[in-house]
Amino acid sequence: MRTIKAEAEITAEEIIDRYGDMVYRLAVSQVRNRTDADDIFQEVFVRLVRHVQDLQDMEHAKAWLIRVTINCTKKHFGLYRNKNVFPIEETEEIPKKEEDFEQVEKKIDNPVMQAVSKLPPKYRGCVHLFYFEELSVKEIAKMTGQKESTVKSQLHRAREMLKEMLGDIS
Amino acid sequence: MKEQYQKEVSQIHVPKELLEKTKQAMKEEEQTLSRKKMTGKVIPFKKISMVVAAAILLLVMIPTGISFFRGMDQSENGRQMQMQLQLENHAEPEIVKIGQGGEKALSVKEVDRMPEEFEGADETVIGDIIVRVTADEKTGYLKAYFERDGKAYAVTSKLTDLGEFEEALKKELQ
Repeated sequence: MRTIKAEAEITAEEIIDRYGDMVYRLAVSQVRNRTDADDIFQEVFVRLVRHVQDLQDMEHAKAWLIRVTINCTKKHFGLYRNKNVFPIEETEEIPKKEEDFEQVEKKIDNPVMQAVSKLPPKYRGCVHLFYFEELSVKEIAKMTGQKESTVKSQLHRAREMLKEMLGDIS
Repeated sequence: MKEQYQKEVSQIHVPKELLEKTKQAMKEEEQTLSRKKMTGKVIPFKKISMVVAAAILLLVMIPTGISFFRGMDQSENGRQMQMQLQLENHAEPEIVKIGQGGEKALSVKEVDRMPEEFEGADETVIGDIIVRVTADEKTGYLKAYFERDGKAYAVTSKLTDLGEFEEALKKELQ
């Protein structure tokens, strides 16, 4: 198994064992669909094999995994948009994609989780990284390639929306 | 809210099946990479064709350039040789000093026959010799032709004044 450059003992397999759950949770929080999350998970770690030698240490690997997972989910949303383009004659055969979205939600009884899953994807990513991975605004900005002010604004908007939704639920 | 979210999310784990499947995919990817490494980097056909085209272009351009510059060099040499021949043909006339400290040139050369340029030229008699005098069309320098003792002579000079020329010629013929 290929290894990290600076830490010869650490292999891609050890990275998946350590950060597998982190990547999977981020993917699920983003796509709200276990099937797509599975695909994203696989893609991220296959990419890791190609780039593991460029990574300096475990922290670098963690940051790399978060960045690549976000990129893969963005790609997924692009593909998903394209998949939903059907000719007018075929509209009756359009699969009910919303059912896919509900798959995860149905398994989650917690109102907070339900509220988060209803946020727009870009807000969900920020909320997940900030509240679950406990990354700073600066770190999130660096990993997502956004300005710190943009991340702050997204978190602010997400909090407002959550307050509104949780108020309704309660 | 934060605690609730963390508690719920922490319950999500990668399914074992997916983990194993992914590890298998990683091993396959690694094998593919090492196979590529063993066989060397595959260069796309487009790159190869571009390199070949550039090489052909160089092969054509270099000899063409060399022959072009050689041609220029040869023509330069030819020009130099031509100039040398011209100089040889137009050798400097003998310097004949006229009078005291005279610096004016007068050259007398024996020739086979009368040059065409003296046909119809003005004739003058210096001593007992008939001399045909004419001027060079370009420079205006005076020149002459005369016969003496059955031999023909051509005179060239850097004189433009006829009196001076005749005077110099008179001295030469004496």
